[in-house]
Amino acid sequence: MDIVRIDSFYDNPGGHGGIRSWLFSTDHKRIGILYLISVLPLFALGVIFGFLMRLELITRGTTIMAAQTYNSLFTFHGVIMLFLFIIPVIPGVFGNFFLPILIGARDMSFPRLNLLSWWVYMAGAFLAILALLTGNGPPDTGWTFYAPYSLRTGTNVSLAVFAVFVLGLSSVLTGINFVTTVHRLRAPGMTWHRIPLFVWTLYATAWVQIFATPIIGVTFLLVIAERLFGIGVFDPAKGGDPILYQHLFWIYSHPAVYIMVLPGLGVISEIIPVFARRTVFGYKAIAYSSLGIAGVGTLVWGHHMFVSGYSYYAGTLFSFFTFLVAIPSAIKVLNWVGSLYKGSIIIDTPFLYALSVIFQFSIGGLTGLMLGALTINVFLHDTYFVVGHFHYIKFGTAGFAFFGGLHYWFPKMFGKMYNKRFANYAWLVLVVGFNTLYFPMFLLGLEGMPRRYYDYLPQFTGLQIISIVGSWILVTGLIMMFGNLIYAFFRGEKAEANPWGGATLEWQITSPPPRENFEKTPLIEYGPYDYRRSRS
Amino acid sequence: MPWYLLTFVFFTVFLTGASYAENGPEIPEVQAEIGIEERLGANIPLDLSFSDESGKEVQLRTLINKPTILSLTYYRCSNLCDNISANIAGLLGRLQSEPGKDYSVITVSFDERDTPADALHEKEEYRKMIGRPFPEEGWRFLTGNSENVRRLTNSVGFKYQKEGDGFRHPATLIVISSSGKIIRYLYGTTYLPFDVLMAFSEASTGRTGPTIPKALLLCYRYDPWSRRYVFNVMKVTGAVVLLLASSFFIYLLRAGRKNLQG
Repeated sequence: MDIVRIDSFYDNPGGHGGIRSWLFSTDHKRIGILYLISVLPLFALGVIFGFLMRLELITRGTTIMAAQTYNSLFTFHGVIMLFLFIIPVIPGVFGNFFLPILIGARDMSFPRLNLLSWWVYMAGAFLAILALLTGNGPPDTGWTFYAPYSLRTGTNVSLAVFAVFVLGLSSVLTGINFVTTVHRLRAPGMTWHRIPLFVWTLYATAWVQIFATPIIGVTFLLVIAERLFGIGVFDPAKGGDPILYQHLFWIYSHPAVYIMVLPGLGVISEIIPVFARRTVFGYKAIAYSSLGIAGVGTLVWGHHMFVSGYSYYAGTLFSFFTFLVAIPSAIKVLNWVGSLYKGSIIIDTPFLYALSVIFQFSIGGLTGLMLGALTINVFLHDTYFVVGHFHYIKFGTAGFAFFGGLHYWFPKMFGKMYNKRFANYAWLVLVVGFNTLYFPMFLLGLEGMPRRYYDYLPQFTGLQIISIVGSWILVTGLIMMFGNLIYAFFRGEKAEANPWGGATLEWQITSPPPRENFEKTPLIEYGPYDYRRSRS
Repeated sequence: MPWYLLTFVFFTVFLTGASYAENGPEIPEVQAEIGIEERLGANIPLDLSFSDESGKEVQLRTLINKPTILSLTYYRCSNLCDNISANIAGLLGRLQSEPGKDYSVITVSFDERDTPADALHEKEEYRKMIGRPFPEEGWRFLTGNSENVRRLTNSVGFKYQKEGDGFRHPATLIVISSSGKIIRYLYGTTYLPFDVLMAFSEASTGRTGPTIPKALLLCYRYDPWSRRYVFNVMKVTGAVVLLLASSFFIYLLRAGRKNLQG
C-alpha cells in the first residue's frame, strides 16, 4: 500500500542544498521554519533572564545581582519576550507556514518580501543583542523606554530602540504581505466565510501591524533624535512633553498586545473544533470578534496612563473603551466552550493546551477588567498585580497557544509524531508551574508589592518564595516539552497526513507538505469545520 | 513602501516644523541646569541652622535623629510644590509607622523670601490633609537664609533655578538616616508607602537604596505655543499612515481576487 513518494519541501530539487537553499528560500514553509529556528533561542534567552530575576528575589537585599543588573534584566526580558518572541512568533512561524495552505494558495503574495521581512527581523534581533553587549551597559529603562529617563540614562538606549524600530519594519512588511495574500490569493470557492478562523485572526492582526507599528517607529526615532541632538520633544527640561511619549508609546504598544494575543486565540479556534469533532459554534461571531478586538483595541491605550496626570475625562473614556473590548474577548471564550457542548471530545495534547488557554485567558481577561476600572487601577498601578495580569495574557494565553499550535501542527510541519503521553505530562508540569509562578503575583500586588524591584519588605517573603518555586517548575516543564519535541524531530515515528482528523486544507496534503502545496488549486465547496462533508 | 515614505515625510515635516517654531513667540533659551545629581551615601551638613515655624533658630542636628523624609519646595509655588506636599500628606496618612517616633518629616523652602509665617500657614494646611492626628513635631516646615539653603541643596545634589518670580526645580523626596546619611531619592510627586518603608528599613541599617523609579519630574513653565510643531509632526504622520493604509485597503477591495490558473 505504498503511496507514491512526493517530494516534501525539505527536499532540494537537483541536489542544490546547503544552508543557502534555506537562507535565500522564498518558500513560505521554509521561511516559517526559519522563524521557528531563530525565535526559539531568543525565547530561551528571555526565559533565562526571567528565571534569574525570580532567583534574585529569593532573599531580601542583593542576592545574586545588584539593582542595576536587575534593571537591565527586566528591560531585556521585556524587549526580547515582546518584540523578538511573542509578537513575531505565531505570525512568523505558523502564519508563514500555514496561511497560504489554509486558503489554498501556492505561496504568499510577495514571497521575496516575505524573505526580506525575516532578514530584517534577524537584523533587528542582532541589533538588540548588540545593545545588550555594547555601549555604556545595557538599557535599564524597562521595555517601555519612558521619557524623560530614557533620554537621560547613560545606558545603550539609542541602539536598543533602533533595534525595535527595525523589528517594527519587519512587522509592517509581514502585515502587508498577509493582508494582500488573504485578499488576493484565496482558492476558488474560499469565500470570506469559509476562511479558517486562524486566518481571520492573522488578517485582523496584520491590519493592526500596518496601522500601529509606524507610530512606534516615529516615536523611537524621536527618542534617538532627542538623545543624539538634544531636540526637546519629550524632555520637560527642554520644553518637551513626557506624557506625549506615553501616549505615543501606548498607541502602538497596546494594540501590540492584540498583535501578540489574537493569533494565539486563532490557533485555539483551530484546535477546539478538531478535538470536539464538530463545527465551531458561532463561526461568524468568532471571526468578527477578531476584527472587533483589533478595532476597539486601538482605542484603549490610555488605560496604561491613568496615573500619568492626564485629564480625568480622558481616563473615563479610556476606561469605558477598555470595558468594551472585553465583549469580543468574552464572545470568543463563550464560543469555544459552546463548541465543546455536545461534541465528541478527544483529549490529546493540543486540546489540553487549548483548555489551559481558556482557563488562563479568563483569569487574564477578568483581572484586565479590574485594572481597566479607573479607581482600582490607581490602587494597583505598577504593582505585581499588573505583572501577573499581563503574564496571564501574554504567556498564559499567547505563549501557551503557541505551544498548543506547536503540538497541533508539529506532525504536519516535520512529518514526525512526538510521544503524546510524555507531552501530556510536560503540559501538566507547565500549567502547574505557570500558575504557581504568576498567581501569587496577584496577591502580592494587592498587598502593595511594586513591580521592577530587586528587593522587598519582609512580609512579602512567603508569596515571593512560592512564585520562585513556580518558576523552577515552569522551567522544568519547558525543558520537558521542548526536549520531547526535539527528540521527536530526530527520532520520532513518522506521522500520518492527518493524525487529528482535521478538516482544514493543511490536513488534506502530505506530512510534511510537498514543495508545491497543492498539485491542483483546490476548489472549496464547504466551510472549514464541516466534518460531515469532509469525511465523505 | 509606507515605512520609507513615512521616514521621509517625517524628516521633511520635522524640519519644516522646526523652522516654523523659530518664528513663534520668543522664549528664553533655558539651560538644563536643574535636576538631581544623586549623592547617595553622602552626609548632609547637620550644623546648618534654619528657622522653624515660630521663627526660632534650630539646628538640623536636633531635628534629624531618626529616619527623616526631606522635601525641598518653596511656599509660594503654585505648580508642582502643592502636589508634592499634598502627596506627602496623603502618604503620611497611609504610612503604618509611628510619626515622630519611627520617622520625621522636614520640608525646607529654598526661597529665602519665605518667612516663618508662610511656613506656619503651610504647616497648618497640610497637617489637615493628613486625615488623622499627627504630632506637631512630626512634620517641620523650615525657612532659612540663602547661604544655608544653598549648602543644604548642594549637599543633596538638588539643582534649581530662579525664573521670573518663581523657580524651576525638580520634584523629589530624600530619605536621610538618623546620622544624616542620604539613603534614597524618591522621584516624582506620588510616593508609595512601600518605597518609603523600604527606605526606612535601609536607613536603620545605614545601607543606601538604589533609585528605582527614575522618572524625573520637573516643575517647569511650559509654553505650548512654541512647541506646536511636535504636535504637527504627530498629526501629519498619523494622517499619512491612515491615508496610506486605507488607500491600500481600498485597492485590495477593488482588485479583488487574483485570477488563479489551476
